[in-house]
Amino acid sequence: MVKRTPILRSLRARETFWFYVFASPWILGFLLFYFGPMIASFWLSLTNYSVLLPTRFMGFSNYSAMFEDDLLGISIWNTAYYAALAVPTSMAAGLGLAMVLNRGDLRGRSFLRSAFYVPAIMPLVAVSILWIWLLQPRFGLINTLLYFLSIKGPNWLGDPAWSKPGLVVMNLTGVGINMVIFLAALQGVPTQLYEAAELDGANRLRKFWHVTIPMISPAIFFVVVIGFINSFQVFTQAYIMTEGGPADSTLFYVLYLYRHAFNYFKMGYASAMAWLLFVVIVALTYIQFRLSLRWVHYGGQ
Amino acid sequence: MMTSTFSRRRFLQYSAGGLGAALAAACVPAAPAAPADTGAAADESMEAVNLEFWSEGAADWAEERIEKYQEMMPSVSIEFVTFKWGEMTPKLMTASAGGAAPHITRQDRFRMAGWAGRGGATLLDDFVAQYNINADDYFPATWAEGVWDGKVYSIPFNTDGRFIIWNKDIFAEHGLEADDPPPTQDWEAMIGLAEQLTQTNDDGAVEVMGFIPSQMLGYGNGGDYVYAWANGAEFMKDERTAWMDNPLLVETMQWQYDCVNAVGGIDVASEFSSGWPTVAGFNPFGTGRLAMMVSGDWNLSTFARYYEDLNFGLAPWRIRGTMDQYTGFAGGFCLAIPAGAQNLEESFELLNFLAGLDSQIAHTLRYQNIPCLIEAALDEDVINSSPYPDLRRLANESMNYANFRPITPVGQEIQDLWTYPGTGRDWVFYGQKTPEEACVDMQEIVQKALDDFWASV
Repeated sequence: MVKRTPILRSLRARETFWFYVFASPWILGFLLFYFGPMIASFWLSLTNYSVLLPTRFMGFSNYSAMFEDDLLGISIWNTAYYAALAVPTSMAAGLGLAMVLNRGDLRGRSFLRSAFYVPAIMPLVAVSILWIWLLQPRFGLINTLLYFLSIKGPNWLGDPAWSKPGLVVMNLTGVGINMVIFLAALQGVPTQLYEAAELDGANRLRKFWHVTIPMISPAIFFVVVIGFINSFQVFTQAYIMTEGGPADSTLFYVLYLYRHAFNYFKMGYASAMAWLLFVVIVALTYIQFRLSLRWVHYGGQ
Repeated sequence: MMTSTFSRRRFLQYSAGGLGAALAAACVPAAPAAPADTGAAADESMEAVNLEFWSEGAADWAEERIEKYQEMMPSVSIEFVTFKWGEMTPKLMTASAGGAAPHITRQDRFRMAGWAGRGGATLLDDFVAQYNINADDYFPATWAEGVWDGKVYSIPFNTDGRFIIWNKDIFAEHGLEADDPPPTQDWEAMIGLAEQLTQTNDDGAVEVMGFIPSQMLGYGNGGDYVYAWANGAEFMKDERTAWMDNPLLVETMQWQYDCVNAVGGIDVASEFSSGWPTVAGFNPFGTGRLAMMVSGDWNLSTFARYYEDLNFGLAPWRIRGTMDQYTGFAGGFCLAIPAGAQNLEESFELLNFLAGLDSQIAHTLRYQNIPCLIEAALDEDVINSSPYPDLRRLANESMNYANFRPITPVGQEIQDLWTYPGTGRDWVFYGQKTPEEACVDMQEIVQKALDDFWASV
C-alpha cells in the first residue's frame, strides 16, 4: 500500500507555502503597480494613445519616429554626459567621506556622519531651489568660495557648457547615501588583512588599492549600478532649476519624455521612449554585471 | 491546568492570515449606506450632490467662495483641491484617463484649446444660453481663448497683462525724460536705449542691466509674445497650418538677438539673469538693477509690498512704427468642466457662481489681478484697491486691445519653442542657429504636432 503524503505535510512544503503568503503583498503590488503598467505601456507604445482621443494601433511607428527626432538625440547625449560625470564623482566623494569618517581617532564622528547624511534625505525639489541660489554666478556660495581661491566661477546654470557640470556638483548633495554604504563596507574589512599588508611593507596607497578596494568591491559595484540607473532617470533638477535650458543643454531624457506625455498629450510616443530607456538601462546593467566578474570579489572568493 | 505556548510560527501564521484578510477587505468595494429610516431623510440624501473643484492657486478665495455657496446650497458638498501653477495638467490628464476627472477646474486659459480639441472638456453652449452669459461682457481676448471650433468650452475668470515697466530714477540719471514711456514703437531706438542704460563695474560685471528682451531663466514674463504681436506676426496660418517660419517672427527673433548683443551678448545677459530667485522680494527690477523689463501687472502689488520707494512707470507696448496703437498679452485663467463629469447642472450652477461678478471682484481684491468681466475690471472699488490706482486703471483698460496666444491644440508646443528656456529661442541666442534656421526648425516641429493631432481626431 502506498502511503500518501498530505498536502503541506512536509516541512519544505509548509515553508514554501508560508513564504509565498508573506511575500504576497509585494508580489501583488509588483504585479498590479509595476508589471501590469509595464505591459500596458508597451501596448501603448504601439499606439497613438493621447488619453482623450480615440486610440489607433500604429505598429512600431513611434519607435521609428525616434530616429527623426533631433531633440531626442540631444536628450540622450545630455543624459549620458550627466551619468558619466555624476556616477564617478558621487562614488569617489562618498568613498572619500566614508574613509575619513571611518577613522577611529576622529572627534565628533557620529555627528559628522549624521551631518553628511541629512542632505540626502531632504526633498529634491527643496534642494533644487536651494542650489539655484548656491550656483548663482555672482553672489552664489560656490562662486564666492572659488573667488577666495582666485578662480572666477562660471555661470553654472546659464552657460550651456557648465549647466550639466553644475547639476553634477549639485548631485553631491546626496553623497550621504553612498557614504553610508561605503561606511558599512569599510567596517566589514578584517583588520588582519591590513596587518598582514603592513608586515609585507605596504604603504597607505597600496593598502587602499590591494586591500580596501577589493574588499569593498561589492559595495562599489552596487553604488555604480544604482548610480547609473538613477542618473539615467535624472529629472527633478532640470525640471525645477533649468527647464531643460540653456539651449537644450539640460534637456534630459526623462524631462523630454515627460513633456511628450503630459504637455503634448503624446502618451504613445512617451511610452515608446520609456521602453527605449528601459532597454538601455537593462543593457547597461547587464554589461556591468558581466564586467563585475573581473573586479568584484565577494566574501569567500 | 493546561497551558499552551504561543509559538513564533503560530504568531506568524495568524499575522499572515490577518494581513490577508485585511487586504481582501480593503479590495472589497464599500457597502452602500443603509437606507435612512425616515422618508424626509431619504429625500435629503437623494438631493445631496458631491462636487469636486480643482484650481491652480487661489486657494483662499476658493475656500471663501465655497463656504458662501454651501450656505446657500447646503445639499451640495464640495471637495476643493489646489495645485501650483502648471502642476494641475498632469493630474487632470491621469484623472481623466481614469474616469475620475473633477466637476470643475480653474485652469490656464491658453490650454483650453488643447483640452477642447481632444474632447477633454464639456461643451458649455447650452449653459451659456440658459444662464444668459454674454460674451460681450468679457474682454475679447479672454473670451476668445475659451472658444474652440466656434463652441464655448470655458468661462473666463481672471487675466493679467504684460507691459513695459521702467525705472524712472535710472532714466533720470541718464538725462532721459523719466515720465515718458520708452520708445517701444522704434525697435532700433530700444536697442540703443538698452545699451545706453547698461552699466558695468570695473571688473566688467553688469551693475545695472538696460533691457533683456526675453523670459530667460525666470526673469521677465511674456515679452516674447508681445514683440511678435507688435511686429504683426502670427504663429498659425489656419487651424491646420503652423506659421512659425513667418518672416515677421524671424524679424522679431533677430531683433531680440540684436538687443541681447547690445547689452554685451548672451553670456553677459545670461550671467545677469541667472539665479535670481523667482520669489517676490528679490526682483532685479525692484532692487534697481534693471532699467526696463516686460512683465505683468501683478508687479504693482509686489512693488508696493517690497519696494515702497521704487520710482517706476508702466505702459502698454506700442505696435511697431506707431505712436497711438498698442498691443498686450492677456494671460490668466478660466473655469471649465472636464469631459465626463457627472451632475452637469449642479456643476455649472457652481461654476456660474464662482465666475460671477461678485466672485471675480472678491478674487481681484484678494490677489490684485484683472477680472475678465469688464464690469468687474472697471469697478471703482477694484481700481482703488490697488496701491497704484492710475496704473491699475491703465492696465485693466488695456485688456480691451490685449492679444492672446494661438488657439490651437498645439499651443503648448508653440509656447515651449517660442518663449521657454532651451529650444527655439535659445538656439538663436546661443549662436547655434540663425533666426531663419531656428524658425524653420520650429515650423517643422509644430507642423508635425499639428499633423499628428489632425490625424488623430
